[in-house]
Amino acid sequence: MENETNGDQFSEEVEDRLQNLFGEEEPSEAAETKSADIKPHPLRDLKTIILSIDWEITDEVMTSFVEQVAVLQDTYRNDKIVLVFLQLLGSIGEYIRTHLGQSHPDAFKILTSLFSELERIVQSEDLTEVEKKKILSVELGKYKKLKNQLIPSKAQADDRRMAAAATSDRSAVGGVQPEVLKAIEDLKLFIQKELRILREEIQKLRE
Amino acid sequence: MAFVNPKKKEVQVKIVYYGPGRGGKTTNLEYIYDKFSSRIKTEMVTIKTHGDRTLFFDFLPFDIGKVNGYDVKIQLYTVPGQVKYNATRRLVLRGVDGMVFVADAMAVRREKNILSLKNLQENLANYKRSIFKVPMVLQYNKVDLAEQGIPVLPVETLEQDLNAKLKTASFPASALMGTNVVATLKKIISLTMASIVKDLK
Repeated sequence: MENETNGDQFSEEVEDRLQNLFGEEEPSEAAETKSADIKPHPLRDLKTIILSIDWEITDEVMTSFVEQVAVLQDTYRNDKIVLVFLQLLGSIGEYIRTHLGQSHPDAFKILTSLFSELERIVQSEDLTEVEKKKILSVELGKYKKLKNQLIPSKAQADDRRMAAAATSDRSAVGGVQPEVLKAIEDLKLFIQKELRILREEIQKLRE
Repeated sequence: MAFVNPKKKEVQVKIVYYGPGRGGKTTNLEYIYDKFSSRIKTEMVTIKTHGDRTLFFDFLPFDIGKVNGYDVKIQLYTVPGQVKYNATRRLVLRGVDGMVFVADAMAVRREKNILSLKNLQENLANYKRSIFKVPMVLQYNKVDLAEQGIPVLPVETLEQDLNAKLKTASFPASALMGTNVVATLKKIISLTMASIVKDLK
């Protein structure tokens, strides 16, 4: 290669190949126009927080996230669809805040997906109510799938905890410590409450 | 050092996209692949998991055609940006011919950019390579976020932080929208090819 190479001629040849491959469709002009068209972002603060969530998800960032979702829930209290999106975001945010690095691998993925669709709904003026409901329905499906995946794993973890408690404290009533039973009961109530809220929201949307 | 096969008249060029986590390295490759897949006619290999983050690396190979009678095969790699995957980053850097450092222009990412560039310098030193001698292009990604009111570092600050000593080509960019993604790629290929030829002389 070296024997046949002459500085300028070589550079020209490389440029020529690159132009053939990546020429014409260079999108910078179109992209600039597109970005210039962006309107002030109503979800700006929430987006900043989401963009700030790094691999090492911190309690501080997740607390800001949950707080910002609460602020937006107040702002959008009259918009049912946006409100459901925010409830779902709040729920997943709370879950990630509690579990941090131990969160289910799909939790962050669903959180970003929810936000991205919420952003689309809030910013777009062309979407009809039916289209918005369809988008929500898809996201709701993903959320429910995750929820279903979490329930058995929670139950399994509780089974393990119960078994451990039974062997470690034989003096406890029935072999299980009362606080373990209380935790299971709390968890059961939490799941029931979450499902009830979701059922109500789906019902409202159907009406 | 690029792999040159005189018998087959073939050169393989390895270009690595480096930078802090969630900075847009994978998005650069995805944009190139989506936009030019009909021309480059290869598959992009990507391994994503745990919340859609790059766990191992992305790989996009393509041919640019003949230069001086040699078939030039470009291989684009990304590294996982997260701090804990340094062993993988180091592995991907083996035999690198050119680098694109994708910095995150968000103000909150300022320190992470500097740390990541320092990490690159250390990892290259591990292969006895100097960051000042490997062809490199800097890309300041996410500058478009400023239009949404998200605090973004001025290009002058990014230049001061990252390019004061390197003094190499740099591009403000939006990998998501494609702004300057191709310009960055073209520049690094040109610089790398020129460097390979210089080394072979």
